Amino acid sequence: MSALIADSLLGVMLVARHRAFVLGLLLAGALLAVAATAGDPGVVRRTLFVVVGTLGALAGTQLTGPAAAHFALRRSAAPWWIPPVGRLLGGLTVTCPVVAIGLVVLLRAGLQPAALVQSALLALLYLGAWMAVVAGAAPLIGEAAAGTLSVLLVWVGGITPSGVQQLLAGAPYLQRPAVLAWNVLPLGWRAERATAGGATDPLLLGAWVVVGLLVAAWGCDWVVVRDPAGATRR
Amino acid sequence: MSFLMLRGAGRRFGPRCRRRTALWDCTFQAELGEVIGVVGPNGAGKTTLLRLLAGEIQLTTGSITVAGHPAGTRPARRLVGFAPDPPVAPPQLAGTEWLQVLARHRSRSEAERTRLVGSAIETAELHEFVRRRIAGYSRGMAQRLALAAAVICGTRLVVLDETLSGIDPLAHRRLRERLLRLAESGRSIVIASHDLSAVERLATRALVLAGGRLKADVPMATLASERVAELTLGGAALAGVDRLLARYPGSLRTGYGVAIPLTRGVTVEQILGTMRQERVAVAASRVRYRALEDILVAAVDRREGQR
Repeated sequence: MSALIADSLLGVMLVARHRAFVLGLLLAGALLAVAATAGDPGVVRRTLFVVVGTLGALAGTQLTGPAAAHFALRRSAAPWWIPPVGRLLGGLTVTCPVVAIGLVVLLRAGLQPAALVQSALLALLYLGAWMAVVAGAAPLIGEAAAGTLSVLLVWVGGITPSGVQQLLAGAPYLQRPAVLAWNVLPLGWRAERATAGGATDPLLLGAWVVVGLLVAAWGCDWVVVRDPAGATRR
Repeated sequence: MSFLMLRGAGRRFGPRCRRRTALWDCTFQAELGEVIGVVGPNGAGKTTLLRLLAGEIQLTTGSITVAGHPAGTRPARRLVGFAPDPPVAPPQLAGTEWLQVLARHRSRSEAERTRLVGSAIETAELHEFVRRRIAGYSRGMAQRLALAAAVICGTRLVVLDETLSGIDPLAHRRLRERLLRLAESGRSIVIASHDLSAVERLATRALVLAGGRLKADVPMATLASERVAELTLGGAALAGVDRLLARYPGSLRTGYGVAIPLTRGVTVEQILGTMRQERVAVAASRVRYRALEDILVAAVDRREGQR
């Protein structure tokens, strides 16, 4: 329990004191304010998913990516699952207020309480999925690459698979793998579709949380050996 | 069974086609309370050896056990603290926050954590700046923080990679004393350093690495019991150095002459007699204790001679 708290606290500090994340929070606030003026719950919800996905990706890079965060994982004598889970909880704690603000905006836009709870749970699941995926990928491909790729996917993730199919109609070799990836990855269109009900979409998002955490634990424990050079530089 | 055991430990890096051997066939043992200095030129395999001990990387061949547990496994990691070079700590945290996080991993009790952090701060002399953000630390401060972190994590074995470099001489002296006290309290310390005089003062044994191989395992007590005759040769006499090197095994060329170990019954009088016979002019001579540098230079010279 002590190790879980230690990693949660470390997660909070690593994320909350990262400049890119703080800038992301400002962007999130601005986007939610703009969405609030639209007054349409659908627009607000879509904006909320983009915002939490982006913040999740930014936070995920800090949980395991930097050399010091990675080093601390390897110094931990706790069971393998505790450090990644603890840090995910820490990252979620820092990002939760943004979800809460988004819910207030949704409430003002006239969303019913039942739909509001559903949206809150989905936003947290979507946030956790991106945070875990990036936390898993960052030690393997580097925090900058993992962060950039995931933010890009979050921003274009609102496009449905059929939309991707149409977009890539002229490139059949690219079309099939892209549509397959679009169906498998935890993208925004899936989170939006999940608000209509059904268990498949939340289950897939939940599966990505588990996969991300497993990869983070595996990558940090045995596979990747990073050069700690520059770890004390910002 | 020894506390720390290495048997044929080796590590290669890189893909099969460009494989580079960083450490090969390294075998030694150490007990609790020993301070082991690891010395060698750049690229000798010191950092690789330390990272293997700390479980930061995996072995390619051989085995390493810490208190009977294979290095890198959770039970072994529980016993080992590692201060890497360059030091690693999250720059956005304050020194105390970082140490608290590490202490939480080692103890559930608040009182015990406070004691651990306090003792680590005391050992590394961090009082003045431990509450500051790590991002603002100088190299020396970061080294000391890494030392404190290693002391918290290493309940039985503290592995330090160049941790005493970049620290001012007075603090260096105090830190050495604190590390010796740490060893007296029952912890083993493995420290890699280019500062040979620091290793001579701190370590009970020195491992000399060159070209990824363990060339010598030197108990420090033997250094104090061995003498070296240093001869300064003037001008043309320097040409006779090669003959002296061949005649006295273990001799080393110095910048101005030759250093000959006074072992196997060799005396200064014998050496000076030889010089007179061979008509080699000696400008000056002195007898000193054998230094770690002599062993290191001999190990590297042997290796270059084999090439």
